[in-house]
Amino acid sequence: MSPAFAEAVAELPALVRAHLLLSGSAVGIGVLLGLPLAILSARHARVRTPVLGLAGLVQTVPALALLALFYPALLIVGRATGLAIPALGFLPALIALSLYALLPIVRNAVAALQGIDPGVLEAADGLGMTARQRLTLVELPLGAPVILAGIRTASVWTIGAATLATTVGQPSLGDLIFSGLQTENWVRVLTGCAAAAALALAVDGLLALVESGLRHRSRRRIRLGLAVLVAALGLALAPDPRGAGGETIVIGAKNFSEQYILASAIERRLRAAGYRTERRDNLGSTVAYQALAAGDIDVYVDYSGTLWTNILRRADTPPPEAMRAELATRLRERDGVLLLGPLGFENAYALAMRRPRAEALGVRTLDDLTRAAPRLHLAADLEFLTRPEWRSVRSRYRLRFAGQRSYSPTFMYRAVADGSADVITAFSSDGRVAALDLVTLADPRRALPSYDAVLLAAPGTDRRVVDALRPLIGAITVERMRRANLMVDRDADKRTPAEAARWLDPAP
Amino acid sequence: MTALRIEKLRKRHGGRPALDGVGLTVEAGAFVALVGPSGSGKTTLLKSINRLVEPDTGAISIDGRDVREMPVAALRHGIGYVIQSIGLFPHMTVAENIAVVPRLTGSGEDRVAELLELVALPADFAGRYPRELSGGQQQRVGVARALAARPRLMLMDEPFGALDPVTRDSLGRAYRALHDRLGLTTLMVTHDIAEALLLADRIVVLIEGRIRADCAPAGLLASTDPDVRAMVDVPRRQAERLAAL
Repeated sequence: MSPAFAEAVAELPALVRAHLLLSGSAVGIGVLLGLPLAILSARHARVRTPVLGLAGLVQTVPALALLALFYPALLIVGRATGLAIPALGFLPALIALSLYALLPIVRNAVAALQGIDPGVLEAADGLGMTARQRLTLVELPLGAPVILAGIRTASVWTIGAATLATTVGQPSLGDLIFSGLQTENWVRVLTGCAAAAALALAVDGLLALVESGLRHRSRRRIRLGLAVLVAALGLALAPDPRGAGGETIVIGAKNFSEQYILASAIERRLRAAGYRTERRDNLGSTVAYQALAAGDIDVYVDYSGTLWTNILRRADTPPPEAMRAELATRLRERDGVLLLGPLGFENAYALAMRRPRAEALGVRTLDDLTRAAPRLHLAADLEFLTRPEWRSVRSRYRLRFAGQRSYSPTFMYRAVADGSADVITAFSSDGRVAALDLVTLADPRRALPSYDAVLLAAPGTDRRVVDALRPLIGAITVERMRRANLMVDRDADKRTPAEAARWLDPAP
Repeated sequence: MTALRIEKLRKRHGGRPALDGVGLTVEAGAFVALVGPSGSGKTTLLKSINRLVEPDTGAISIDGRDVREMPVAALRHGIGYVIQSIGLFPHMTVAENIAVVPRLTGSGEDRVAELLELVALPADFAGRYPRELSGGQQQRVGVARALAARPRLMLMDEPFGALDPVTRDSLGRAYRALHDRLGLTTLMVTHDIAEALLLADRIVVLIEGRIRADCAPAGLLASTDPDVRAMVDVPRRQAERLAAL
């Protein structure tokens, strides 16, 4: 078994449990909410039109966007009410997926109730059934197969969509898919996809068994199907078999290889100090900081320039030490966030070109680029074009490209390698800068701030956690970080982030 | 003794009067057929009695009690109701269908075998589902279900209208026998004048929401009202043509 596969398989049990619990709860809430809505809708056209319309509208929002929307929504609700509402993780994922499950459940249940033979309903009324007796004795039993078919559809959709919960910091099988995509570790991607598909097929099969039991009035099939489903949910709910003991520290990571490697290194240090750890990978840049400030995650690595421009909204570019010192003070005042110190390397945004192309055009600095840009295409990562750094670079150098597109980092490097882009927003610590023979363009007008990797901890983080992580401060040079990144990003002899972390910080 | 009294019943359906001042008194034990063209208000009148339709004005009493003063469920439990579409519950067995009203009232009385025998169905039908039965057998179960709580009044809305002529005839006669044996009071809506003439003791003709004739079958045949004559002439001419063959 390859190390990547072994690693993915080792993560599977915990991820399957989390995935099952999340999608099971979401479908459960969908049923509890959807059935009463459907009963009201079937009886009153005035309820039906808005309910089906709204559920349909929710369905048209891409699942990824729906999940992402609940993070700021819950933050606002939390602030407005003063309640400690967790904005990251299980809750936003649960709300979004429950809403998503609603449409097939409501639509099928309404169709089921409206499709009942009117003669049967007239007989029920004529025999003296109350509205409730008619519902429980006639309408629900007769509608059950169609209602259950809707629950089946909702379950399959929800299990699929639950892989996206990873992006709001809720562990799911999406963890394997997203981190695998970022590091081009296809074994992880396939393991995650296969596990999610297997889960969906298994649940669908069990619900199909219950459905056929309802159609053919076989109590045995109904009981068997439900028993296995309940047992699976019970297992997912049961306390972690690895046992309790030790406090759990939640480590955040954004969505690129360096972040996974550093999160693994942090994880190794904390485990060596006796802590249990959980990961929240693939967080968006501002989501990660807000999650830390809110205490949803305990520790993660960010970059001084990012915090400076995105969080403090500053446009000036002081020298690195001064920037770090001011960040430490301001972040503590503002959010109580602790800046534990720099890791020792910088991961700056730098515009980069392939060396032969840059030399042919005579471009060495951003001033040179201003001349050449109107004939060149820019490939940026997903964030850069919306960041203040881009506005600053563009205005200070009056850059106008022939075209600009956003890519996920992996594909951005591909674009410059295959010539579909001339200039990319490279990262200075990225192993691919050297591997692809890219030159980073000098920034004489200091439009880009420095991006020292800094270790951040949530307000009130325990002293012992800080001590466990202290050996990482100042310990990672840019050369070592580049090599670790390349181990994960290269195509041949690819390593997992955990393996790279072991190489980067072998001590613990 | 008066089993059913209907007074000055009016009901409008979207501006058009469905019932336009109907009054009717039915003695206990009578078998009354309600006939008339489509849309004449027969079904509206029938459904007003068990309050599936609420009339605009007028009063209905059963055995001297105003139906509006009784809880609607209890009122319906005490009235047998049989309809053209039969309306057996497809997810319940024949026995469960027959026992549904005793189950609702909580009487717990088990008369399934007795009722099956009453409607001349084999006892082993109890465990079957409605889809395994022919139309005639299903309506026999429908009648048994209506009789389960020992009602004194039966309301039947074209009960045999969807059955083939042979089944229809035999089931009609079988029901008439049951009516006499159990001492029921029956109000039956029908389209079929011949059925009404042959089964009922009394025929009420409704036209445009008003009673146009109310008499014994023999009296109806002698009616001079042109609309009523037009209705009764149909089976009579059919019988004459059949005899001439």
